[in-house]
Amino acid sequence: MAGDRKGGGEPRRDRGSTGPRRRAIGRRKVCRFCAEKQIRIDYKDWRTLGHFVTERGKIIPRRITGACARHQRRLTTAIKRARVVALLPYTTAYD
Amino acid sequence: MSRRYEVLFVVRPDIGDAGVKDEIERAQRILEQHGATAVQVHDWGLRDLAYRIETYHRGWYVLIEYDSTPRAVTELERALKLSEHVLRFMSVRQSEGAGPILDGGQSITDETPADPLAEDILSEAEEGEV
Repeated sequence: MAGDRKGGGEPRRDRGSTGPRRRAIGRRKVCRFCAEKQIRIDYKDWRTLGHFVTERGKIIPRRITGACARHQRRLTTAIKRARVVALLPYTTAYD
Repeated sequence: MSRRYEVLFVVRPDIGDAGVKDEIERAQRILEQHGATAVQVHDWGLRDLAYRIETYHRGWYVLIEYDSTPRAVTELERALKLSEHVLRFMSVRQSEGAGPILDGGQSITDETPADPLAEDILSEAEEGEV
């Protein structure tokens, strides 16, 4: 009985895989600040922080940077601090 | 309790080298009066500002690190706030074991690129962001 059910379940599963593919998104991102422990996130290091803002100066979200919660939070704080002392822009659309 | 702090401030560019020196000395004096020790001054020099402040597009950046009680921090901040030559300042408490963080600022002064490994990771980052 159990064997029969199993046999009956399989084609259904196959049909499911021909439908919309949910898992074909590519590799899972690992936070690179976790991977490279020696990298410090510092508001004075505007060069590095510059990689985490768009050309308009907006902070790039975690879903794109791939940073973990802790490191994204530190990035955000650092970027905001850098803005205060004019190391990074708040926006480019002015002047 | 004594902690390690740092303050980064931006001085108006039109007061000249002597004026900047005065500001730095003033800050140092205030710190020492309030018992700060291990005071280190890093002069970043003239840099472009990311945005205009008042009428200035450039500013003279100075970073000062010191060990002190919170008292010295408030005193220094008060003095910086009152100074007409200081455009911006920011005090930050350095986190424990944060020694090498400073090299970030240092490399900015020297205009040297960050270590190659970091550059590598960053270029990787850009690919990922596309």
